[in-house]
Amino acid sequence: MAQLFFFYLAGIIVLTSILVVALRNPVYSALSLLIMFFHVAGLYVTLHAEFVAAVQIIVYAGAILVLYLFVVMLLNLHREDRYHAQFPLATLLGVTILTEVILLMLQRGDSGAPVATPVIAPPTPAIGNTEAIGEVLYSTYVFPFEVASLILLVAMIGAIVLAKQDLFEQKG
Amino acid sequence: MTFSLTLTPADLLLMLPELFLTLWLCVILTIDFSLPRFPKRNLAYLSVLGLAVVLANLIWFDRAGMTGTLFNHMFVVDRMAIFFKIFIVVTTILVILASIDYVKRFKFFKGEYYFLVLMSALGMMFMASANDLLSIFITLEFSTFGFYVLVAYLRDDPASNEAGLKFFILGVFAAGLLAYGISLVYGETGKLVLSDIAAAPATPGLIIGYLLIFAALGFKIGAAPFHSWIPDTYHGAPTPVTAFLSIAPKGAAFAILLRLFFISLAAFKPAWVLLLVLASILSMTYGNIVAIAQKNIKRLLAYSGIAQIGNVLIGLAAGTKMGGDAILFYLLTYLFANLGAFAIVIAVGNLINSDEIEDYNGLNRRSPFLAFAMLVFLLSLAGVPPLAGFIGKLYIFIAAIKEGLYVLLIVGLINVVISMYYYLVVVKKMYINEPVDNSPLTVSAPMQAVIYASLAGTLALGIYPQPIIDWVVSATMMFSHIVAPATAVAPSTALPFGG
Amino acid sequence: MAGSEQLLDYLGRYFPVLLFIGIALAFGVVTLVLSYFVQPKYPESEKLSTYECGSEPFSDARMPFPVRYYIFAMLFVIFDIEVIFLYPWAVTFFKIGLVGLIEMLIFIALFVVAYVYAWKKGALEWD
Repeated sequence: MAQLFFFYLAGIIVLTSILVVALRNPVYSALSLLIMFFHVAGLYVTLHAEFVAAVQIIVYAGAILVLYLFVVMLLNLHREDRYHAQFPLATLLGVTILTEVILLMLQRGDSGAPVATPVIAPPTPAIGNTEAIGEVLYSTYVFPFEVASLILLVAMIGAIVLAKQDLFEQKG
Repeated sequence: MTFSLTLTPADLLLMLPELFLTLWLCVILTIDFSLPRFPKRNLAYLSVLGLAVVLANLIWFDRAGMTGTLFNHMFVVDRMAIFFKIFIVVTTILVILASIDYVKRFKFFKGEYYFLVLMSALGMMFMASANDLLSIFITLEFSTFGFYVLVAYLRDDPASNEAGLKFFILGVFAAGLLAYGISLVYGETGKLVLSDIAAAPATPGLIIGYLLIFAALGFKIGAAPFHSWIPDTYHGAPTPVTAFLSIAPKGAAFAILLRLFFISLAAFKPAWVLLLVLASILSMTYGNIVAIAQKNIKRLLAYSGIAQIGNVLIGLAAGTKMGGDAILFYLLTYLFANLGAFAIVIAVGNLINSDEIEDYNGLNRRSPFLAFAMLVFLLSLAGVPPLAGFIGKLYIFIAAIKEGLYVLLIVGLINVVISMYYYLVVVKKMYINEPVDNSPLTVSAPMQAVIYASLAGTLALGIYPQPIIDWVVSATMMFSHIVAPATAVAPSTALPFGG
Repeated sequence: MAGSEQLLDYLGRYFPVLLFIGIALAFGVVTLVLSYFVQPKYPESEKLSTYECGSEPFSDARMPFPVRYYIFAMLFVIFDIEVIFLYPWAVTFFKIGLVGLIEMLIFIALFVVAYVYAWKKGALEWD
């Protein structure tokens, strides 16, 4: 039953990912990306990563996708303008990576080497994932947290400096 | 896990330079947007004032021997961190002074330019102190964000836009590699602090992770297999930004590389020496050979920068404390010579509005001061005695000889000869060719200050390097445990790139 | 895997979410399907043509968006990420106490600087 969840979510993710690149209309591509984001969030939930699932919905499905849609509409891409000429290169790379994955899987199967034990802490039912993240983010990892604020400051000013259209005069 | 965070005032004192700079940044931004009449030129002087305070603070830390770690070893203040912070602050001060005339070209957002430069400097100061993989990632991204904007600052200039786009796309790709590498290393070891992950045995995942991290940092320093963004980005970016980008991030990234290779990977030294030797040879040879064909002075300096980074990598490949000393010293000589050369490119560019090498014809007739300064900087980059570059190259080659890396020595020496050629072509144009236009060129006061400071640095480091050598030797004292590869114990697991 | 029993029990807590998704989907699907069956249909060629004040349509209805939208979208992403940092903070607020409050105040103070900047530069205005 639990596997059923996984295969449903994974199947939809694979399907919509293919649709993102295969569909000719960029708006449809963006919308299938949205469906993919939701299913990835579902996958995170089954892995007890509620916070990542929330980030996936709020940031990716909520904000990044809007950005994608704006880009699509900003550029007003016509169907014929897309890059479909890279098929041979893509096939070559795809086959190479697929071979590597298969080789790695075969190796793992027969080498008999001890598979590195995962160091991830076992899920603690008493405390939620979000709460656990909160506790370490604001104590152990407070330095990256505050730097993240500075990054957002730069990003905000950078966005305005680079994209603001109707600039008012500045005397220097 | 229970919530615990201990921060004493003494801990915060260690962060004083960064905290002060953060506050100063906000003040500058606030002045910029709340007082539109405030002359933007004064913002530059305010920035320099703030940086001077930070510099004084750092020198005090260095003299007083203030060291320590904060935030569970994520942020470390040791003498090497202080060295690199001083390196970055000095670069930033000189770049801001050199920008003052150039900023007049920007139609809008003049004040934000200084803000973004300071912001990148702050990010790089954090990089110099980053001591675990997470803070490496976040500080590296922080410093790069400012540069993404600065490179594309000339919004009306397609070349600047193209430079910004290329830099951004490749930079984000490198960030992805870094994040992926870090996740692999963390997955294999379960630890993030650099000294903690040193003990881990070499598993395939760990090796791939480290290679990815090296690739991302190689992108940052512009070493040869990861250099493809350098020429176009340097060419299209506003020249002061190019000067900044060619020096300060390299120093900050080398701080991280030194920590990573000499602390986390010290035990695997036989395995990574070959990797670094190859990267070094490739950078030196590629940079120098392609530089010969350049017609644009910014592109020439871009390729020569790739070659110079190849030289610095020799010190990393040596993998000894002396190699570390040589890297620090070499970066200082590179700072003064490269910044000086770019200062002249900025000055000439402001006056004749061109960066083509052809337009340097007869510069000596038009401004003997600029021509002489350029001569000194180019010769220092080439490594001619008695200038700083000579001592730097000597130092790094001696470090390589002591480790028996004769291949690097030979390739390095051949490359010195090649580089001499294209540097001297510029010198010939300045001194022997006839100028098209004979009108004399005058240099503004802040620009003169930058050029004099760079000249002083280049000459002082070349003629009397002893105090600085003492300084770099004491700054890398933490690496004194590094031993020669001959006596090092090889890691038990076979590595794909054996030493 | 900790056993499918446990996982199901855990996922059971997400049943309301599933229910909401189901209701949302059903609302859209039922509205469309129902109106398809209920509506009267008398198609004619004139009726099916695009109505543009009586004149023939002469260009694509999809015009390129003004770049202004993009700034708003970008600013929205930045604010969105800030909200993400507030979320675990709010969840653990009682555990991290005053220290956490101070940390978040610093975080937000830096953000307020950016916000006031955007405001003053007119990035939040349409024209």
